[in-house]
Amino acid sequence: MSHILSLMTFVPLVGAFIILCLPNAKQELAKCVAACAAGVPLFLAFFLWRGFKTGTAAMQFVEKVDWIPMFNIQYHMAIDGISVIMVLLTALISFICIFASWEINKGVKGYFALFLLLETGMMGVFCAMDFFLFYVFWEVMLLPMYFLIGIWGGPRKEYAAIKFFMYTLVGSVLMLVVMLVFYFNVTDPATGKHTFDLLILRNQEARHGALMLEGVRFISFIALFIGFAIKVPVFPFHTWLPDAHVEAPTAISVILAGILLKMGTYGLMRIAFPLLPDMANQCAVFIGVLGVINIVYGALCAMAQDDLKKMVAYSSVSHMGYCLLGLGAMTTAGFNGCMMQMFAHGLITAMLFLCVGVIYERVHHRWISRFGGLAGMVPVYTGFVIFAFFASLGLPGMSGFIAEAMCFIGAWQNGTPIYQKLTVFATLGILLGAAFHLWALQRMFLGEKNKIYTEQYHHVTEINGREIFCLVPLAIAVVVFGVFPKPILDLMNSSISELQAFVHHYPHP
Amino acid sequence: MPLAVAANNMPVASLEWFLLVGAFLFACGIFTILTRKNAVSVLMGVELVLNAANVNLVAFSRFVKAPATLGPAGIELPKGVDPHLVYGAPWIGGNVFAAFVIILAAAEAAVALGIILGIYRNLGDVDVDQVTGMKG
Amino acid sequence: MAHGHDDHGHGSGHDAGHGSAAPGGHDDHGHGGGHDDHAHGAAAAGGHGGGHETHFQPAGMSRGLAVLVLALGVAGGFFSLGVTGHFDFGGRVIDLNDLFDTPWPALTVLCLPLVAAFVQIFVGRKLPRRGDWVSTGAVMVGLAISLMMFGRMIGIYDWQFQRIHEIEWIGLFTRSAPGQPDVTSFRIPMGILIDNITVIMLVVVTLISTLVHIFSMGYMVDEPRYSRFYAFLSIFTFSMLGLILCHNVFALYMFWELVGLSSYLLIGFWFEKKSAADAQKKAFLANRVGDIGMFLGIVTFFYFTGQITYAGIFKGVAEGAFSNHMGLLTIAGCLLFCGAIGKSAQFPLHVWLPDAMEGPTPVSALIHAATMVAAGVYLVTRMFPVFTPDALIVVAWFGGITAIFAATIALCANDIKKVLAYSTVSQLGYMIMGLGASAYTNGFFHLWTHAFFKACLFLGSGSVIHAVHTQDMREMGGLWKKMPITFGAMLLSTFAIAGVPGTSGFTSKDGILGDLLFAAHHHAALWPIVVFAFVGAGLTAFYMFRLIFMTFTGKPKVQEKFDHAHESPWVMAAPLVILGALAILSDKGGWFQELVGPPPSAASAAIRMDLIAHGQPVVEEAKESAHEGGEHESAEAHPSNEAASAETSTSARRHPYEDPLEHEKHPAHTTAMIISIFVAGSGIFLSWLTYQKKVISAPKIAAALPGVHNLLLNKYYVDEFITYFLVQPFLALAYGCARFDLKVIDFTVNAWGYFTVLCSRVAGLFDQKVVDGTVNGTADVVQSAGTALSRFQTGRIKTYLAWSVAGALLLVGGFHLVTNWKHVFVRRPAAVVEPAK
Repeated sequence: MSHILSLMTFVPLVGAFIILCLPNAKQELAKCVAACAAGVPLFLAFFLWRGFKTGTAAMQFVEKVDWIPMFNIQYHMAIDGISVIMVLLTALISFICIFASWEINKGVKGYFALFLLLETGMMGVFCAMDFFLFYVFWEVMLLPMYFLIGIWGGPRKEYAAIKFFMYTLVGSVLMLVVMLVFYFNVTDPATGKHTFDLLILRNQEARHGALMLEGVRFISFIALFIGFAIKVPVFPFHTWLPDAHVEAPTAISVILAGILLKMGTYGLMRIAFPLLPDMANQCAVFIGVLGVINIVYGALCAMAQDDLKKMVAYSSVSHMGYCLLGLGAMTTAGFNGCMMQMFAHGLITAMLFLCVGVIYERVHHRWISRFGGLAGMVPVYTGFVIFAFFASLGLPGMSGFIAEAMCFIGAWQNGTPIYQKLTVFATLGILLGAAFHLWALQRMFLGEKNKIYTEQYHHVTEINGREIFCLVPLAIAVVVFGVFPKPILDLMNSSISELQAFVHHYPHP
Repeated sequence: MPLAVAANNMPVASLEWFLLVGAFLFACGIFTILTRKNAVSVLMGVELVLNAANVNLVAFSRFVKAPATLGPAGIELPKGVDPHLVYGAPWIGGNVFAAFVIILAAAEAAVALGIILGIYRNLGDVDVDQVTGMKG
Repeated sequence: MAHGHDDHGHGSGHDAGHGSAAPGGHDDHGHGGGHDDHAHGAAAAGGHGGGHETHFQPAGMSRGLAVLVLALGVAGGFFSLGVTGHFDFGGRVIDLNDLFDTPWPALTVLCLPLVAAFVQIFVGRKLPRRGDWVSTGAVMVGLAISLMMFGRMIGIYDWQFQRIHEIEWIGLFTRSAPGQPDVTSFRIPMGILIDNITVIMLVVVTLISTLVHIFSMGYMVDEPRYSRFYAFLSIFTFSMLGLILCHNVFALYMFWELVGLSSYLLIGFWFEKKSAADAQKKAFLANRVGDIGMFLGIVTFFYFTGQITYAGIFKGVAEGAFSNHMGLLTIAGCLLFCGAIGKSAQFPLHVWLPDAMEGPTPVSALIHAATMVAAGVYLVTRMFPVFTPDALIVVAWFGGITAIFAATIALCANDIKKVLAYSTVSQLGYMIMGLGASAYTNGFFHLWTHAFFKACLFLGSGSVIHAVHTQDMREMGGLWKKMPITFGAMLLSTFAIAGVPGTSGFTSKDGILGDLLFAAHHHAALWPIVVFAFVGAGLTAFYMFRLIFMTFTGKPKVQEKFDHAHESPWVMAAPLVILGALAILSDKGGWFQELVGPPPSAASAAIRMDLIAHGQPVVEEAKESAHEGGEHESAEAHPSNEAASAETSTSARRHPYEDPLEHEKHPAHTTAMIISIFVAGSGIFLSWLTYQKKVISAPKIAAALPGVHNLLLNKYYVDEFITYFLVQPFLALAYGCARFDLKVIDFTVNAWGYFTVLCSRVAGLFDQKVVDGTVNGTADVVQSAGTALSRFQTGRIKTYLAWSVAGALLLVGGFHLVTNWKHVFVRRPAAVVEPAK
């Protein structure tokens, strides 16, 4: 049990190796191995949840060994309330995505091996407490993603893949620079060596040199922010997202939107904010403004899309704006709302992309305006889509609403007039969100069948058992945590209140 | 051209004279080599050139004194030998070289004649202008 | 009216048996009640008229009547059980006070429909009768429990009755500094609040929901998605019950949106129709607009008071949380009211409600007439203490404008459901207006009466539509002969809505108008509203009788449709009968006035004093003293509750609320009554002249006033205004943003990409041509030089020699010349000949 994090991280990697060793013909076996390799982390996630002690902000399940002693780099894996949510989410979504990609028949071995490698990277990012290790996992995650989009993607996959890759790499480079700035200007008070340990890096007394300069700290924060903002993605760094989502295969879209985007906000909470709290305080309003721009702009862009997947992609932009607004609020409710939104959006957007995948697999297009009257033909599928859409537009009783409400309340609680104005503007997002979801719903599912594109209706069949199996756990989670958010909030609350106190009351006595 | 004057004011033939003779011989030899088509004549010209060199070698051997630290053969003296003991001793290196050249010329003539015979056997002639096998 | 007298007759007491005992009273006497007689007669007439119709079976009707009587008996039984407060269960006496002090009865009422919805969704189609009994049974159990609670309310008769059961739902911690202990900063409890308002709403919702469920068994029976319809109805019932049971504004907002969802689902039940799909979207979005305001209002209250429960917010406001921001309190109240504007279809967000008539008619009766749209009124009622006088003026103006605005539109509408829809909007306007004019009790009372008569009207219209398969009143006429039960019930309800004395609508509307008149004496800003209200009352009478005349009397306009018309089956007729009776009988407002006291907050009482009558110290003192108990109770909910309940159960002490302003209000009420009887009478008379006697020609009036007529026909162009000035700009903005995203941001990104590619091309060319070119060039030079020089290699040995000689000469000569040009002609000293020494 003491190595549970390592197990969760590296079992998928082992699975990937096993898959690579299988003969090419055994595709079903490869899928089963992948399912098992992704199932183990999910299984362990249950114990992780049970074993996680709430009410404390301390790091738990710590694993710490020297990795590269020459540079004092450690293999330091641990989780606190911020990480544990994301780890649970990653385990769940990854497992579901294995089944969502069951129909893949091109390069099966490679696909699942890369997928498992991706899961290792994602898990590692959320568990790593050493900046260097974090960076390594960050890059590990990047590479399989590139190939998964670039090989198994849609018509413009090369463009999308390279765009995703380049964008993320720019972010990585910025992060790398800041990482080195911190490395060379922080010494571990205990050992007197330079260190990458995130828990020591946030220690104000351990710093010296360039980090004492406000300008350096400011530039570092901006660099880190841009690095993570690309991942979130924050306007105006968001344009990789629609392309990547649209071109990626269904399961990869799910991973992208469900987990990868969260790495941006997670990075802000894990690295940018605690490492540079003073700058975070200074830039908070700016982050909040960007959040509101994301919310409104993303929703408006989503409304104008005719490609269903692109619409969902822009809705992600809009929803991640709530996270930013909550982060910018600098209040406990805001931070919790941000975290909750990360979790809720992970579940909801996964449902949305799975639903998009279902119809795309049948008719091989996603143009909203070419559909119509699907509800009469595929009622169960329609039910799931309505569920997902309403979850996405923040219907109370579903987790998205709790998150949005907490972000708004958190922003309002900041107390300064600008935040209240921001909140008022941001609430426009609720309306626009409802508008584009319902409009799309109407154009695709309601009304009469499309008169021009009649051919497609021959291919429209009801959602099958595998797809329902993928959607149902998410739906249950969305409702359960929408009605009883307490279990999730309890997990994160202590760590987040500690973080909030650390950041907001900096410099503290 | 005045001859060199010896220490005892007796005119002696100086080095230049010898060199002039050598140069003349050399010029004749070259001229022969360049103008003659017959390989044997060319060989004779070569002999002239060689001997012009011999004249020079011998003349230098006679006139050029060895440097102070060198022995009569131009070899560095072993330690402990007083250079003054050998100072002014005639330098015989040139003579030795001339002897070698003569021997060499004989051997060379033999080889050359063999080659000429080969050429003759191949081409039916000993005209060196037609031997252009090494053209680039 | 006969029924009214009858009821008066046996209602011997003043309070308990009197107003509330409509079902209970009849239970005791079997068919003694007036409406039962009526039902008999109607059934007989219907039987004669529709004997040859296929759908209508006299046997079925009499069976239905039996079931109806039985049901009323059972309902009355539950009610009287509640009044008694305990019952003997096989020797074991169960005290209902104890039972109702637990949250379980309320939770049962709340959750049963939810369970039913799940059952319907997953297995509904496979059940016998496609599962309609599951939903109906669930809501019937709810009705039974509600009636028991209602009876208990009457039994206890305490206007300050209040029970709160709460659990912690969200509790977040904050730290003042790292490492410090946690402080709860953000707490949202979930809980159930049961007071008289809740119980009244419970009865309204469960009763009308039950009747609509039963009605739908006939109305929707041919529908292939029958079980899904019931599932949606159950979802709605659940959400609505949650809305009225919850004890905090956050949960209120949640259920508020959930009723919006069920409304969305039910309006678009026939989603194949584009108009239905448009209408459902419109309804949800219009509600969302209001909800945004409401949410911001909630957040404001939460921010300032730190509390989310009603009691907590009232307490916070009373303790001066807003004392430095009174303007903000007004704004927060107005924001909260935005929710009511959306949900209760007030101008300018009323546009969704007429369109919502695309839904099945039972849905219109349940959701868009009786219950959900009344949620806005409920909201204002609940949150009344936080509304400042200024906010209340705003509320009153919105209500007043809506009341007359919708009434005028209803004048020209020809779709029977649209007329009813606009009348609903108008009546909701009355309620809101009443609340705005501090007619707190009467505004809420109008909700209660309106629920019955408007549900009756809608179900009646459903019955008519079911019979003639059209909604256009111009194709109806003379239907009373064919559908006597429907006609009778609708006529009673029309009397009620028109404000004919003796009906429930008269009592409640007169209460509002009287209070309004009274308030206007103290606030000049309310005078225009008074005018609106009375004119609106006249218009209401006019257009409602227009509906009756066009539909039921006169000659049939389309003979074919008339011939096929028939009375509806008993499952549809019975709810009509019950509701028609209630439209008359629910007018007994005494208990209502005494049990729905003023809102429980001292501060708000003071505020309202400022509105109603500043400078009336007697009244203020009375209010203040009346409130000490209430505030005390809300402050320490549980212990005092237990004490109170113990007290009431033992001594059965009564706490009716006595309006201290009653005497001051009396003249206003008398005036209002006279005027309203006059305007209602003239409205009915004009309608009779126009549509029955045809003395006045409506088309001629329309022709005389083409502008007005067009304006009314086009509903004041509000839809168009919203389309052109809100929807289209937003869509344009959306497309603009998408283009911006593609053409500017993405273009910039791609431009960087292209620029990078261009740079790499240039670098590539440089590498190829310059760097590699140098290497290759060297080789080329060497090669060409070699080629050129190889011409010297003739292969002739003499050439070489010649060149060698020439070269040697050149070298020697040249070298000599270069190094020793000064000494060329100088004879060198014989240094080599003679030793240096």
